[in-house]
This record gives sequence, C-alpha cells and structure tokens, in this order.
Amino acid sequence: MLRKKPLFAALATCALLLSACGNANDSKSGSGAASPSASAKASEKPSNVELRMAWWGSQERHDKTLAAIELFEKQNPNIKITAEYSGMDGYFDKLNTQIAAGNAPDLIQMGGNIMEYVGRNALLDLQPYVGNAIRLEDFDQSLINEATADGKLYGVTLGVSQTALLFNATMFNKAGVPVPNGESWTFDDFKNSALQISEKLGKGFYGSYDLSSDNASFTTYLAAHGKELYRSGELKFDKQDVVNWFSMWDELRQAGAIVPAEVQVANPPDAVDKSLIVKGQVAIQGASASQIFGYQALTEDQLGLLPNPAGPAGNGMSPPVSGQFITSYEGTKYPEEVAKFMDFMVNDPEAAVILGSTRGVPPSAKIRDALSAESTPVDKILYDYISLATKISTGNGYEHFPYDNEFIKLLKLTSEKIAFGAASIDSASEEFMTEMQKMLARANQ
Amino acid sequence: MTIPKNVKNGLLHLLILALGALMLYPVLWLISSSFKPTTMIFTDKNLWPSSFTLEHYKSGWSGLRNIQFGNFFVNSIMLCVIAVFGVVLSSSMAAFAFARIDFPLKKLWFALMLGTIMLPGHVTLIPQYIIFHELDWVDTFLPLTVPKFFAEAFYVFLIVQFIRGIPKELDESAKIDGAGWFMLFFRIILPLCTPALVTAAIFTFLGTWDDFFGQLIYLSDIKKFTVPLGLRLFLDSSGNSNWGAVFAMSVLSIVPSLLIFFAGQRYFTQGIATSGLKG
Amino acid sequence: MGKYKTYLAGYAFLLPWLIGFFALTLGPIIASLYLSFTKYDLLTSPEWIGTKNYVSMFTDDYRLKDSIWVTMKYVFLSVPVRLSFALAIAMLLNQGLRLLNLYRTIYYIPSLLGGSVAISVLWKQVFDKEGVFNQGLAMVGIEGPAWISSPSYAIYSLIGLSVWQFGSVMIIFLAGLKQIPTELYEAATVDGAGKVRQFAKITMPLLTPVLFFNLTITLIQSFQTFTKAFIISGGSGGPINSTLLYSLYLYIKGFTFLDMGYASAMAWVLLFIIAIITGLLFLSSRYWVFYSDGGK
Repeated sequence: MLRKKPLFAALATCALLLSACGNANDSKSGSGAASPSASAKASEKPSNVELRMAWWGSQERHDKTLAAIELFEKQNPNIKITAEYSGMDGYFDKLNTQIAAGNAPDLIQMGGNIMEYVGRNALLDLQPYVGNAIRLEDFDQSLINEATADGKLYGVTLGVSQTALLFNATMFNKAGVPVPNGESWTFDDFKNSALQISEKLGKGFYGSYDLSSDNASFTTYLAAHGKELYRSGELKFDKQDVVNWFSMWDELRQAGAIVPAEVQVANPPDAVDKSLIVKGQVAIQGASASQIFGYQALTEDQLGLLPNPAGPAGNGMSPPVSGQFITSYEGTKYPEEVAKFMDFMVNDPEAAVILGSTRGVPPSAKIRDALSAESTPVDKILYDYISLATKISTGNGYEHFPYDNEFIKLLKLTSEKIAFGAASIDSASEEFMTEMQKMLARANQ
Repeated sequence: MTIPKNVKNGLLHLLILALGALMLYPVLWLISSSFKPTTMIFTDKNLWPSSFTLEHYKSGWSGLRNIQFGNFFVNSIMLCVIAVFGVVLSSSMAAFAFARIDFPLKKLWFALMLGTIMLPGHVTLIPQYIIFHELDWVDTFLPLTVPKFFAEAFYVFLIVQFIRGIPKELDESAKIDGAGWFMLFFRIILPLCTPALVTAAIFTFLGTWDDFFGQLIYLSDIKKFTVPLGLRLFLDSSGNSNWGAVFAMSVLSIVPSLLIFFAGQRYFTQGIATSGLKG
Repeated sequence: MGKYKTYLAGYAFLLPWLIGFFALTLGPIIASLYLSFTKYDLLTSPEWIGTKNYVSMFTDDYRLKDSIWVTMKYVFLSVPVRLSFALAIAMLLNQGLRLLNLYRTIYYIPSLLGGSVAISVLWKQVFDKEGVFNQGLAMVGIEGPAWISSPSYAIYSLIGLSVWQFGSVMIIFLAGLKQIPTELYEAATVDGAGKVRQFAKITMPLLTPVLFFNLTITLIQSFQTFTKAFIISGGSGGPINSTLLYSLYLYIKGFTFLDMGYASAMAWVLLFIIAIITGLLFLSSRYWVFYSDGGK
C-alpha cells in the first residue's frame, strides 16, 4: 500500500547518515523507515484515531470548516482531526510533495483536477463505503460520475458549481440594455449586448472581457457547435473551429466591445480584486458560478449569472459539476473514519448549517432544501442558476484533456498572441493545433 | 573647488532624499493603504488617506479563529534567531578554512560548494522532503533550522572574500605568539570581519523571514505557522481576499527586520582599524 | 605546526559544511540528476527514458526558446544596472554625512519587502498604465506604456523590481568599503592624491574581492530568479511568455504540468550554463581581483 520508490531508498540512506552524525535529536528518527500503514489497516476499531485534513480557501471557509470539525469531534470523541489549511498559493505544490514522499493528509480537498490524481493512483477508492458509511442517495448522478473512474468512486462532492458568465446587472441597466434571457440567448445576442453596452457607456467601459482565452467558454462554444474538445483519445474539432472562435472575438475587439489585451492582463478577470466587473467597467466575464460570492462582496453593483450562449447545436453546457471534492489519500490508515467524516460533511444537517455555501451549493438535495429557508439573495441567484444549468444543459459531460493544465496555458498564450497582434489568427490557430496534436501524441504513447 | 562645503553637502542631502523618495514611494503606499477603509484601498489614489481606520490591524492581528497573528511573529522570530546563529557560526568556520588553511582537495570542495547553489531549488525540493520525512521531521521546525548549522554557500563565499581582504601578516604574528588555529579564528579573524558577519546575519534573518516556500512545505500545523504563511491566509484566489489585513500585517512584518537592520548597521559605519593589532 | 595538523584543522573547520553536504545536499542533487533521465510525474514512480528530456528541450519546446531569450535579457540588463546602482549609492552613503543611518535605512527598506505578497499590488500601483510612474512621465510630456501588461515592456518592470531591491548588494559594498583601512586614505591625502585618484588607486582595487563576490552571486541568483517573476505575472510568465524566466518555466513544468523529469533536465542544463560562466569569472579574477592576503 505504501508507495515506496527507488528514490526513497537512496535518500533514506542520506537520512540515516544524518541521524548517525548525531544531529537527530529526536528519538523517533529510526522509526521513519518502517511502513506504518500495513499493520494499522488490519486492526479493527482503533480507539484513538488521528486524521489530517488539508484544504485551501478564504478565512471564512477556514472558520466554518474548523467549526464543523469541532462538531464532528464532539460527535465522535475517538476521532481527532488535525486541520492543515492554507491559502491557494502553493497548496498543490505541497500536496504533490507530500504524495511523492508518501506523507499526504488523510483527507484532501480537491478541485477539478481530481482525475489527474485518480489516474496516478494517489487517491483512495471509496466504492466499498458507498451506501453504508457514505450516503449519496440525494446526489445528482452527474456529480457522482464526475469522481468515478472504472466503476470506482474517488471523491465526494462538497459543493456544486458550473461554469457561468458573471454579469454586472447594474451596468446593463445603466446602458439601457435588457438583461438577456439565459435560457435562450445565443452568440448573436451576446455580441449585440456587448456592442451596445460599450457603445452606450463610452470610453473605458466594455461589454465583456475577452473570453477567447477562457477554456470553459471555448469548450462550451465547441459543444454549442456540435463539436467537442476531446473524447476517447481524439481531438473532436479542427482548425476552422479555432479560427472561427478567435475571429468572433477579434471582431468584437476591433469594435471596442471587449477589454483590450493590455487592460486585461493588468486586470485579470479571475483575480477577484482586480476584476473590472467589480469596478463597474466591464459587464460580462467568465467564472465558476459559486465564485459569485467573492465578486459580489467587493461591489455595490448587482451581479448575476448567465449560462454560456447557445449555438446551432444548442447550449453546449455540461450538467452541473463539482466545484470541489473531498478525497482521501490512498495511503490512509483509517479509511472507515475517513468515510464517516466525508458523509458528515455532506449529509449532517447541523454541519450543513455551519458550512453554508462556503464551497458552493450543497450537493445533497435534502440539505439544499433545508438550507433554502436561510438563504441570502446571492445564495438564491446561485441556486437558481444551478437549476437553470441543469435544465438547459445539452452536452454529454466534459471529458478532460489529458494535459488539461497545458491546454489551458496554450489557449491563453494563443489568445494573447492574437490580441496583442503578435500573430495572425490563422498562424496562431495553426500553431495551436500543432501543439495540441503534440500533446495528444504524448498522451497516447 | 570653490563650492563651499556646506552647499556641497546640502546638494548631496537633496540628491539622496530625492532618490530615497522614489525608492520609498511603494512602501509609503503600502503603509497608507493599511490605514484606509477597504473600499478605498484600490480607488483612492492619494498617499495621505482621507479617512483613517485601524480596522485592518485589528482584523489582521486577531481575526483568525483560534490563533493570533502574534503567534506567527513568535515562530518567525524564533526560526530567524536560530538560523542567524547557525549560519554565521558554521559559515564563518568554513570560510576560515577556505581562506586561510591549506588542506588537500580544498579547491574541489569550494567548487562543489558553489555548485550547490547553481542548481535550482525546485528540483531538489522533493528529494529533500523525503529525507526529512524519513527522519520524521516534517511539521517540526527542524527542517528549517538544522540545515542552517551546516553552512550556506552564499555566506561562506561572502566571508571568504572578506577574510582574504585581511592582511596575512596578522596571522603570522599571531602564530608567532603561539596562537593555534582556533585562537586565530576566534580572536583575530572573527573580530576583523565583523562587517561581513553582521551582513551575513542580517541577510540570514531576512532570508529566513521571507522563505515562504520552504515554510509552506514543511509546516502544516497552524500553531507552527510563520508570518509569510499567516499572510497567505488572508488571500484566496476565489474571492474574499482581505487585502487590508495583508497590508497591515505586511507593514508589521517589516518591523523586526528593520530593527535588526538598525541595530546592525553601526557595524558598517565604523571602519575596522587593523593598524592597532599590527603594532 | 605540522602539515597533518594543518590538514586536520582545515577539515575540522569545514566539518559542519561537509556533514550537511553529504547528509542533506548531495543526495537530492544526485536524485535530481537521475530524475532528469526519467519521466517523473511526482505521483507515480519515475520511469527511465534516457536522454529524451534533454533531446526534446533542444528540439521541441517552443516555450523554452522564449524563456531562454527572456532570461538572457533579464540577466544581462539587470545585473550591470543593479551592481552599478548599488555601488554608486554605497559610495554616496559612505561620505561622512549626517543622517546617514536614516538614509541607509531608507534605501534598504525596499529589500525588506523581499518576496512579500504585497509586492504584486505595489508594483501594479507604480507601473500600471495609469500608475504613478507614468503620471510622472506625463508631467514631462511623455505618454508611458503599460509597463506590466504589455509583452514588449513587462520584462523592464521586472528588471525595475530587481534594481529597486538592490539593498543587499549595497550593504555588501558598504561593508567592503568599511573594511578599507582609513589610514590608507590619510596617507594618500598627505601625498596630495585627489579624490578621483584615491578612488582609482585605493578604493577600487581594495573593493575588487567584494565586487567579484557581488558580480558572481548576482549572476547566479539572476539566472535563477523565480519569485519576482512569479509574483508580477501571477505565476503565468505572461503576457505572451514575456516574463517567463527560466526558473519560472522550470517550476511550471515540474509542479503545474507535473513533468518533474523534464524540469530536472532543465535544472541541469541551467547548472551547466551557470557553472561555465562562473568558471570563466573565476579564471578572469586572477587578472583583476586583488586580495590583501597576497593570494590569487
């Protein structure tokens, strides 16, 4: 079970050398090399269980999660949970280091990159606990599918979210442009709204951010045009789709309807406190729906959520996805207690009240209903949006590109090259396709 | 040469201050922002805040559940003090060996030592973590302090350069007086390269104070968190960053380094008189 | 003292470093060399692939070319500017003026901020399109570009940051200046040598060991600059790779793209480059660095 590497053995020698030099002043140093997991896993019902849980987030999330942990410890006096929380900076660097050394926390908060870890056997198979310790009856199937590979479940959704277009309703009103009907709006509607807003409000105001670099917008665009980014080892789009995509944005750029490249780099939409939507200068940007809390907290303007526009093949949106999962390290000593805590996080009514929507919309329908009485106006916007997205989604679920992070960076680079005029649409798209093919070849090796 | 001395000095002061103002502007902006109400931080461009608040200092200092920011300061200062002691002692020893003593393979060791700082730390991070994990030192202060007692190349090189600036006749006369290597090191060389030692101490303090990545990787328990880790707790990529608190605590976090610098700098201002020893 | 006793003393003083080298440093260095010949994604065991990482570095990496170009520009512009600025200020602060303690501190404060998270915001305030720097330029009738967010200028804002934090280099120069025995100047003044001559004949030669140190170390550190580029570009190295310093790209490869084998290969190539340059510096040092201990 413990993941011993060749690397390990050699470095352990160094460690021994060090302790032999008399600098290891703690008595425990010798035991480090022994495998702790095998023996402990066999034992039944341990009386004193210590679990480590890692997550990233804001101060508010830290406070609420700590309160929930305290409640859990009260209910289960034999289990103690050590919290290891931090900001997002370096969270995954640390996690990767810990996994490489076989020292990862028992409970790990994960994002959309869960499959990278599943594919590399870093996470615990939760399937044996589904139905008993972990109850998922009130979960949408799509949320379960997302963390499932080869019929095994690897993560429990902590919060539901969905890609969305975040818009500044106050700006729409100021410009006298009607807020579009999310259920039916198309790319033409999107273009018109953006053009009108920038025209009415004048210099320094823009209808939309330049979303040509936004991977979620790009993939839904492909789906709305009957294509896909990737499925089963193949790219499901061609260069013409890429050219069309960038041409659409270039047209808006020439018309002054979207944020110019320099301004966008200086005020990236994904950095909440730099986003111009908060300052009332840009009306539309891409975001994950649950992020609306962060943006709304920084502005007096009224913000709202819209789905991506529809194309000839319909809306192209995938069914709602998990914003975050709780997963467990494959090397944990206490899988049962881990499962128990996971269930607590998503199904315990008291915990639900404590946690609120600090990780997005609660995944369990029952909990959602119970919470709706106390929901804030922003909660309501988010809940309504998730319902709408569930209703109109047509895509059959997004299959992650094997080198997702590299694809995201490549799209951004291509978009910047075009926006800054460093390359023509045609040559940049050509290069984009070449690099995508190279990655694909690497993945299929 | 007809310019009166006080006019020349006045011009010098003016030049230094003008340049200094340029250097300081961003820092003054930081300090001013830490006193501005949240809504004004990014909108009010004036350096002098039109309304003052101490809110960020309060929320930064005690706004975290179960822990006060003061704890982070205590941990950071402790780490830094140990590091300074370890680095200065071990590095000056190694430097003395390289600069003054002849022994086989000296050049090889020196080249290897410099080589160690030419490899980017990101690729040795994980192997190093594995070693510390095997020693069961993870989530203790040991990985961040023990290595400091094994000399750091940067400081060894620095001190070597300074020791080599000290005339060798001093050694010879000391040896004639019957001093051994240890006497020579502690009684003659160390006092004479005080500026270098103080420099090394200040840099070590700062470097340790600032070492976000190392501390992030090795420390997990919030009770062991240091100032850089504490500051990151106010930031969240998905929203709700408390920039006010970040600024306020950043201002406070400069203070210890500033005090150390202030205390240490008189050692640069006094020249070292080597003549007294010679005679 | 006997020969062997001297050897023993040498190794005794070197012992702390030797322990650390063999116990903590050497293992990870060898490990990274081994990893550079593998495909290693951190989460699963490394897999031996021979020289493939090295080959694809030189044949098949469009980002690496950008990255090397950016790094060269950064190193060869920032190092001379930073060093001469630091030396000039150190000389300025070494005149027996009053208030010197205060001035030194003022110039050192920017360096105290180091890699603080606040820097990203500070720097944007100064070098944004509407930032203070451009406001200053506007006063003399120049319309400044967007220093941080334009692909052609972003590297200069990075160089600016490196020069701004020149404090540590300055301190080393100051310490070096202080080590020069004052009686040398006194004697020179008696002999009727002017300030310029004193600088050329006393200050510069005696400062060469420190200058050599600063040059070598600043070069090594500049090649490896990571935090500044990470903070300024939000970890992306953008826009259009214009701030993608070598170490930042290495980090992205290793930790974001989970290709630690490739990152290790990159690290060893960098080591090789730095070692050659440092080696040349050391060779040249015997012609221009003067040690009071008479050695070369």
